[in-house]
Amino acid sequence: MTLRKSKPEILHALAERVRSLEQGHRADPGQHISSSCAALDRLLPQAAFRRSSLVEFLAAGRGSGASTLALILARQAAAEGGAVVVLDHDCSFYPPAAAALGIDLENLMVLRPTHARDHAWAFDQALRCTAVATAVCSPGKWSDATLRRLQLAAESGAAVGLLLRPEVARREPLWADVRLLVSPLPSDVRDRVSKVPGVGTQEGRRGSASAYEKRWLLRRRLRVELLRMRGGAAGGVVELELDETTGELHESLAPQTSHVHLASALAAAAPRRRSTGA
Amino acid sequence: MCIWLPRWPLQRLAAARPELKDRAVLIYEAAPRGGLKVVDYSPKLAAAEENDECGVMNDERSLAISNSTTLGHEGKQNAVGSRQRAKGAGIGGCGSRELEIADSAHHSSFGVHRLHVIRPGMPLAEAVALAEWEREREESGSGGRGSGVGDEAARGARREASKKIGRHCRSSPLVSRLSSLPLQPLHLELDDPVADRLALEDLAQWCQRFSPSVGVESGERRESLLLDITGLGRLAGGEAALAAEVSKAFQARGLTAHIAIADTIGTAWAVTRFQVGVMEQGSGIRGQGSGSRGQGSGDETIVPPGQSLAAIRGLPVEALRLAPEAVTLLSELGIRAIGQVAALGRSTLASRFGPQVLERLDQATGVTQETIGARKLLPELELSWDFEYPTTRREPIELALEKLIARLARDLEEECKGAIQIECQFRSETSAPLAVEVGLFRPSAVVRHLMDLIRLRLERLRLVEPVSSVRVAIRATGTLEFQQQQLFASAQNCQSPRQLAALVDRLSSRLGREAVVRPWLLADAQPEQACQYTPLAGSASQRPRQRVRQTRDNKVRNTLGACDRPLRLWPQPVPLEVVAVAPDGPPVQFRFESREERILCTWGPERIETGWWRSRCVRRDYYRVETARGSRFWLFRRLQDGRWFLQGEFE
Repeated sequence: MTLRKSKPEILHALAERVRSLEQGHRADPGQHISSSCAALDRLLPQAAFRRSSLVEFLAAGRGSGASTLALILARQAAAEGGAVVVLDHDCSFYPPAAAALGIDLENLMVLRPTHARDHAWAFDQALRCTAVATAVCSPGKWSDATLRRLQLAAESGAAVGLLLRPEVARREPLWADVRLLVSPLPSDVRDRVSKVPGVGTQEGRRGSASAYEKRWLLRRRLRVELLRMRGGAAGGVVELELDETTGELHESLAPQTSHVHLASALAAAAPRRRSTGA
Repeated sequence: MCIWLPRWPLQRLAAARPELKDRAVLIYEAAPRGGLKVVDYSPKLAAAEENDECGVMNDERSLAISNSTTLGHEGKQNAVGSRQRAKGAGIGGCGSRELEIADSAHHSSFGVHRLHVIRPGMPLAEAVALAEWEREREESGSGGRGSGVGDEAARGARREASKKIGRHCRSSPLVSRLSSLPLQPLHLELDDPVADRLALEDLAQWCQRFSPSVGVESGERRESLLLDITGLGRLAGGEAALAAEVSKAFQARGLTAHIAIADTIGTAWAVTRFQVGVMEQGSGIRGQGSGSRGQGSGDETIVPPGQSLAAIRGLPVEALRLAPEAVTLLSELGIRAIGQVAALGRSTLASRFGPQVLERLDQATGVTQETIGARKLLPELELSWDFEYPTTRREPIELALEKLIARLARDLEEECKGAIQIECQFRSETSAPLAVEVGLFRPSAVVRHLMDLIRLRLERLRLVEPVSSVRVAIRATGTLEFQQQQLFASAQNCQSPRQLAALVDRLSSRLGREAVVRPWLLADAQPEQACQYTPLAGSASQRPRQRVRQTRDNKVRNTLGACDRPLRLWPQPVPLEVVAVAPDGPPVQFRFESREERILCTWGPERIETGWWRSRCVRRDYYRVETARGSRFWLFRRLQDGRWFLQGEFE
């Protein structure tokens, strides 16, 4: 037996050291949070979100679903206890929607700072508190120094800091662990009906397209792309479906390739889809 | 001494919300069997304080009406300066079985009696319609009429209003006229008996400067304070002078109070509420000496010692604080006055009417003792520090504050109490004192924690003038909670409530109490009103669950799907240009932020029609739309005019 390590072993040990230096001093396996969807977890390093870190969600346009995804993650983070802190600087946060997603309003704290300079300070304080499970905020034009300070605050506490930013922030330097871009996907009836599982079985007996259409209509589609990551390879893409009645995330069963939509075909051929509201 | 504050809920509201002084206010409550009922009404809140409520019963039927009335069952007269109480004569109530609350303030100089046919126990919708009709009538200048006509017109209006109010805000002549009224809308306030009681207890605490033994009357509707002034008359220079001093003090606070001094609680209570005017045999009730005639400011009455029964002989039986059933029974037998009750034998009273009537009579005449439930004098948790030389430097001020807080915290810890609200006042020679208030989430007596919070507030304070003295007062305290430490427990579990409390305190200190809030869901269909925020820090007695009907989270989840409501809701809906295929149909395309969005799918309409009891009724058809890109928005069409608005985004 030789005491000298082989080259691959040395390289592996060095890579581990570099990774641990890049990711900070913690490698505690008990501090991981799953997003409740295995497909999304697979995108991430160590297959889960990490506590005491920042996560950025970039929203591709308005009404994209980024905040919904962030709150689902917040729900998972607070499942084991701890408060959820939401910074609502423009008073547009709507708690009934958060409650419908599964967030316990007893543990929800909403902060409404009036001055911009208090915004970052309040987020910092929330991240440092060990009783907070997750803090959500939409940062404005914060400087690198502020973001670095927030990163250190997250590392000193036990909370996951969720930052909701517009898509233009993808060019900025990364101070979070993970940067995800969330884009909405249009729902396509024809494609979905043919690919719904169990078409020929129990569900099929109940009726033809209307039952499948209803099942599809209750799912919202999102596309999540891992833009950047600290100490890992980026670039994974996953398509998710959000079940609108239960608030659960599933991987979309559609193929990963992007759909080719013919706008004229949709406009002309697709019937007016209407369902009775809630 | 009994101090009666007539229409206390309205007075408390006027004191707490001075901006409502010129508005018409209607207080309502939820009736036990559902629905909303009126508790009290005033066409002008400031005038409500001057209303003299000591009327005489003019209708025995009024007594059997709901227990929630305050004063509505007394016919009232115009009484500025004068103290006539006709027995229901003169006012439009003559001959009428209606129960009326008359307003005295405006037209007193014309000697015209104005009536409002809004009575406690009335359904809220009817009362709102009548109130608006009243104001419109006043505006159109027909308010100077005599009472009889007004009464009939009121009845007609009520019939008309009850026909119209039955559906949700259909467009009708009445509704469209209402919306065009230039006056400020009627202010509706939910009845808050807890807040009334707390305010009354605070007032009782304040009255301890007049007497060491102050209590609040017991009963469902508490509007009186009871003071024990045995032997105190001499200190003030006579009972009349004491009563005048009390009256002046209440007037200085902006409250209307009726004061009576008597031997027994029952007599004093009766005399404040049911003063004798033109009735039979009032025997020298008006006080000896000059001080008892209030000159238009609250009235003071002194009953000479030993003349309790004579004083109340002529008053109606309600003055004995009896249950409504007993009063009805007595009136059915034709017994209206206390003198008649006293004339019946004791055994008769006990056997026919139960023990309560006899007990109350004995209490009023002094045969049985009745005690005042006096509040304990709370120790003053207030210290001050004077500087030798006025200074604007922070260090000596903080040092002084620390010393004061340390002493107060020591006193608190001895009683196992912690501070919840602290007030620091900085006085200077020339300018007005600056006050800084710090509210805590949980009671704390830790000096370092309290000083941290005060320092955070001090950072924002600009001291313009040199400070000559500093005063620290602890306004509210609570019991300290002690948690047993576990030896091997993880650090996070046993520390987290305390950590969270400390976070809330820090955030509230710097951002302000109103910026650190917790949401509560309300059972309201209108999306903007479905949620209410309450501050987390502050006085422990102001915890929510009093006025908010909270729905549990799992209930919400069952009725609303995860994506039925948007995460981002604009407080003010944004008007949009929308293209819809059919006039009542779903939208096809809309323009937002100078971008055309084509709609692929719509879910809806979800019709929400609500809020007719507020000043504006809401009738909207909501649509969830998904655009060609996949973005989801929440739009609605306003049914009144067909305009489209963007309410929120499904972010």
